[in-house]
Amino acid sequence: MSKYILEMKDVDFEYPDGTKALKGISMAIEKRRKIAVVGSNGAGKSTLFLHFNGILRPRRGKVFYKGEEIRYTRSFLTELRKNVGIVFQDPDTQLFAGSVFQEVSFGPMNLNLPLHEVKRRVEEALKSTGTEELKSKPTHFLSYGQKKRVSIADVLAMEPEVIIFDEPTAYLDPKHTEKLLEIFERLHEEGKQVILSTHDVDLAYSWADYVFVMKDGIVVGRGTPGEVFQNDGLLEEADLRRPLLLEVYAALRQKGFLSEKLPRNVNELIEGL
Amino acid sequence: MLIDNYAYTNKLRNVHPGEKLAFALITMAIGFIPNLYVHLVIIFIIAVVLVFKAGIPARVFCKLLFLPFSFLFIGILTIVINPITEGDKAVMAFKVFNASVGITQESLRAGGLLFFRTFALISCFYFLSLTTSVVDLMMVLKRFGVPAIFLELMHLIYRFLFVLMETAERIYISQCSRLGYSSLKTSFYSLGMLTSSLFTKAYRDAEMLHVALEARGYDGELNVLEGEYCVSIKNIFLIMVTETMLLLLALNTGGSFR
Ligand SMILES: Nc1ncnc2c1ncn2[C@@H]1O[C@H](COP(=O)(O)OP(=O)(O)OP(=O)(O)O)[C@@H](O)[C@H]1O
Ligand SMILES: [Mg+2]
Repeated sequence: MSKYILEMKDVDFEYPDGTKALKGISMAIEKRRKIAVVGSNGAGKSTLFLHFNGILRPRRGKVFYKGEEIRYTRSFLTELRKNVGIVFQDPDTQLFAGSVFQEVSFGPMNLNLPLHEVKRRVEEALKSTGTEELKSKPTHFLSYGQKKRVSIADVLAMEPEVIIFDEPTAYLDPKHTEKLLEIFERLHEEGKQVILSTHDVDLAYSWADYVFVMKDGIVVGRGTPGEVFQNDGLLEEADLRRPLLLEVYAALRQKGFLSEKLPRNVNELIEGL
Repeated sequence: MLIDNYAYTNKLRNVHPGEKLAFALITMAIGFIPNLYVHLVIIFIIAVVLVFKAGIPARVFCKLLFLPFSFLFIGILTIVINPITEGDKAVMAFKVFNASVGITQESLRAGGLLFFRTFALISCFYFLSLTTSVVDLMMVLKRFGVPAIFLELMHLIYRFLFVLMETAERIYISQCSRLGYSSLKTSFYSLGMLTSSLFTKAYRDAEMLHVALEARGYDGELNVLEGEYCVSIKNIFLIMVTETMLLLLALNTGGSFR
């Protein structure tokens, strides 16, 4: 057994119009790590994710799931997609069904589960994303944030081993962002692998165990949040800013108010004072 | 005011869609009997059920009913006004070049009957579309053995209709707010842009949707869980009584217009 759940070796990808979206990406994602991928618009995050469950096929290079190379045959891909779920960046590309309930049931139905099991999973996914009241609403009458939550429920209901979230917190209000973080936490405790992309450096800093920084189709940096977000050269290169918490920490430290320990969230910062 | 809204919010939404479909279809079938009383009673019954049972505002139903009015009126005119010959008893006649055209008692009768029949059938149709969502309707059709491919097409077309509408609206608003329709010339230009980008966008959306469906294990069949409804004996009984009454009315008042 490989110690990596997902792995990529020298992956190149080019869109049909000639845009080189990935240029020689190599990355390995360790099991049970909370992974965040950060990078500016057009860095290639979404393109990268679509390689992880075989939707896009690299022009060059290889992708591995649990040490096994992905083969682009129907049966292999079906099996892979049962295990690796993606919540798309734009919920409109994902939602198709008339009602929310049907929408969420689509994935589990494809897993050939017994109907009562499908129902249980749908109910549970709706509950954890706070979309129960929207159950019988048609998907086209939802607000954007609601659509986003339904698209998350879509994939949760399939209970895959790896869940990839492309910009999960975009459009969400603070309350639902908080709820989503709870979902991530729970998934992590259940032993699932959570991978997300985000523009929110504060979120990436306080949530992730390991961070990949992308820029123009290349991984320009990687490491623990502490390493990545204190590397000003790297941040500048990738057009990112330092997390607010670290700014404050640096300022307070300069004035001699703080101890050595790097705070991961506001509470830890206050404790250190 | 989207009709579709009512299909999801009306008070009859939890009634078994099969019952609603049966009511609409049987009433429609009876509505084909050429009998003015039957037509009027059908319109009345549907109006009452929609307004008092389903809670659809009367204003909305009236507005919908008169939507096809002008179209219908022109259609009826061509039936009412006919070329007439010497022997006909015309109610009204006039000469166009060498032919004389006019309205006879029979044509008036036929036109009137058609007019009310159309309204009766349209109201049956409105009953279905105002109380039953496409999603529920498809479930019933599936039970009746309609091939899956048709139903899936229906499902996707339904969804894309809204995506298309939303996109068109968004593009339109964005064009308006940048003065895209301030003069005739820019209006034509903007409209052209809207149509062409709408279709390229729709095509792209369809492609993306396919990708997203595949990501969730799509294998050529859209399986979703059906809603749960209870069959109500009371409703079935009421439907049967209503339809029988309509049939009796049709038989007792004869098949013609007086
Ligand atoms: N379908 C496509 N056809 C052609 N080029 C594309 C397509 N999708 C993306 N690209 C291009 O590929 C590059 C990477 O795009 P990608 O969507 O992966 O970026 P991203 O990191 O997800 O950005 P964002 O943060 O804005 O979501 C961009 O330069 C983009 O213009
Ligand atoms: Mg993206």
